[in-house]
Amino acid sequence: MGDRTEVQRLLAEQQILVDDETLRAVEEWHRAWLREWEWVRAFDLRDEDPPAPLWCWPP
Amino acid sequence: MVLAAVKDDLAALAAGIRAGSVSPVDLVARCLERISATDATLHAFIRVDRDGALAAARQREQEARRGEFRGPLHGVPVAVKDLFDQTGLPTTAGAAIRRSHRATENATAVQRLLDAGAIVIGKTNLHEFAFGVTSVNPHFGAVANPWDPARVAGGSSGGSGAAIGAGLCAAALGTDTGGSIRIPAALCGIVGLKPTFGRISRHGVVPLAWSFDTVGPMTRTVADAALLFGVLAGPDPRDPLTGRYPAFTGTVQIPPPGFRVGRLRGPLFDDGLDDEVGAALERACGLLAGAGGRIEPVAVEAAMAGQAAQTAILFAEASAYHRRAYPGRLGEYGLDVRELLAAGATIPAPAYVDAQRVQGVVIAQTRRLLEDVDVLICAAVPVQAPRIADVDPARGEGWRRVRAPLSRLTRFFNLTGLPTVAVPVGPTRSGLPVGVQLAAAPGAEARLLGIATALEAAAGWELPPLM
Repeated sequence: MGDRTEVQRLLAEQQILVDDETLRAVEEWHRAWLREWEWVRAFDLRDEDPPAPLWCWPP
Repeated sequence: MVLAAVKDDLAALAAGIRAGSVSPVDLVARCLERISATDATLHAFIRVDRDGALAAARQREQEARRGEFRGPLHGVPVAVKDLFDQTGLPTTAGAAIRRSHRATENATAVQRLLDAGAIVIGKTNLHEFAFGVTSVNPHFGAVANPWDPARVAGGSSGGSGAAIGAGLCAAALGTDTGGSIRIPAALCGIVGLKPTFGRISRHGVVPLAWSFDTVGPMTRTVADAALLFGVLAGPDPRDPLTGRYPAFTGTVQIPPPGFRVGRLRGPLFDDGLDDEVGAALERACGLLAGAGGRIEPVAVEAAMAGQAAQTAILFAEASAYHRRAYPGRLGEYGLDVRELLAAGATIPAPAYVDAQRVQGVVIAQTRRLLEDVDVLICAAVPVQAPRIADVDPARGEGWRRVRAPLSRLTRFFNLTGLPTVAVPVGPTRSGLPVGVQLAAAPGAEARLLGIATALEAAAGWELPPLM
């Protein structure tokens, strides 16, 4: 995830065609999100942690 | 008399109308005059229903003279974010793409306001499709901050925030998916309540992200928020999420001596705070301690992971909602929203699921905290209101730099679903409002608003004379 090809592929799969400037911005957004997502990767999600809507959502 | 009355809170206005000392017609006319005088600058409204509001005011006044009162908001002028359906009117959602829409019925929240006797004077401007935090709207104008019209009012419910801050109406409806009630409330110096997720019906409201969309009141005072919340909350068969909690009595709980306040600490809540915002938060904690509270630091281990999770869920759901129109009508969206919808389409499905798993962990950790404290406190917006010229997508890339900071401290409470209220606690040296957030356990709005009332009284913040 994160390189230009991956973002382009994801957008193309959904028939989302954007101009080059928007593509660059989306790629930058995606890279920023991946950096943020490192907090999730670093977090030790366990097998017994199901999605919130299955047990505690809505509150 | 009317000018003075408009500065008062909802209860005082309603009492004045009931006693015959305040005329709904004068009140509405005065609000309409102020809108005429200011809205070319503020852009707070997308539509003002002058004739309809005056006709309704005349009717409420006649009813009042006969001793007939529809409810606790009888004759009070309110505004509605243009994300809510109102019969016969377009619900633009701040988007050019929806200009031709016509609502065939009222949103439940709007109907409850009308049933309580309120007069809807207009529909307020917002960030396009509520997908943004500045309310710099390319189709309906940039909403200006009533304290400094060169600056943003915040968003997405920026029009509602500016209208109340400028005295154009007594209260308004907003929605909050990542901070859209609390951000403009903090930046405009008013009170904004994001209730527990699911306590107010969302029927008839254009979605942004179903997992977090929450309807709430934006008001001049905490007491007003409690009054409006009492009108709005409760089960609605057309929104199944609302069945979990009873209606709200409108009565807040006076905090007992020694009430416990958990001050949220850690990178999410401490980093990047503007000095004056940090000082305002310190002051708020001191005021709560002076009101009998015990302040103690608390932390949520998974808070930063939760931030990433909230982004994934919100963006993926927003992108999914727009698939009928996007990308087919991509060119009709504003520059920022079209970009953000494309960004949401890059969230992989496994990440969406993992985000919901993280959400569960964060909720569990936060609930454990709330077993030991009555409320949590942190700043509402870590920075001061940016200048419109610096964040207008038509003028450059500045909007990308402010988006994350403006919503940094609010999104946590959407992820956890906690009832959260933004309360103004004072101005910066340059006179801009600063707000803090208080949050309580799910369903504990009475306790939350009681402590917020104590903070409000100690802070002594008042909206200035009306424009």
